[in-house]
Amino acid sequence: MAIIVNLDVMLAKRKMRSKELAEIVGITEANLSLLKSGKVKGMRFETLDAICAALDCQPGDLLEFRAV
Amino acid sequence: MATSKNLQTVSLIMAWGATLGAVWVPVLLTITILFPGHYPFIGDVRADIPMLAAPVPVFYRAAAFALSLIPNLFIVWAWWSLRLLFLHYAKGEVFSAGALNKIYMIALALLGSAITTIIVQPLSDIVLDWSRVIAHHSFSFSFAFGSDDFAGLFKAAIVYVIALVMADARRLADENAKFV
Repeated sequence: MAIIVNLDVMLAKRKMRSKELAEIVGITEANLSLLKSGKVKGMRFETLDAICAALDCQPGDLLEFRAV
Repeated sequence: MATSKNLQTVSLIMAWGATLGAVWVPVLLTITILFPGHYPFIGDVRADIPMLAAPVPVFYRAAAFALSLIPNLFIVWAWWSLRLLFLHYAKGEVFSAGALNKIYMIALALLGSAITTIIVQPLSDIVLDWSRVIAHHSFSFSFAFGSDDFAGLFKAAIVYVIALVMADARRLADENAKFV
């Protein structure tokens, strides 16, 4: 897939741990891990909204398109 | 998939109930065909199978019993598949391939039971009446398709439709599982 998820970068910038973010967003750590590694088929806007609110960032900070 | 405590408990109870059903059907059949009479909670099967009221030799009674086993084996198969289905549900495997397969098996078993009941009943009547057939060189039988038979077929159709719906639900659950 050409969509890259830069969640690790944002977590590092905000000095937040995955477990903490998962609790705030309301998804399991396992699903968050799948999201970070780009192994999910899609993301709900609700989840994207919660992550952006928790990390105080824009969707573009999290998602990047790289042509293969 | 995480199972709710309610689903787990109810599924286990239902699995036990289905196990009893799978065991009780052949036991009941054996008792009522080979030793017809009036039994508490069961009644008198001779009312449904008049031939049993006649003094039929044990050999013919056993042959009729063997024939009657056919649709009832389908019923036992349905009960056993139901047991396995509830065990899947107790483990949280609501939309798994195994659970779906069990629902299809139940539909198939109910259909098999309904069809073989229609066919076996007149054959059983002939067998039970065979000693008279030999004596009089003639026999008669009739095929009947009553409301009970229709109900049996309808039940099988209902379960089949539920299986199709669950197959769709499984597809949606699989798609959903890949979304966060």
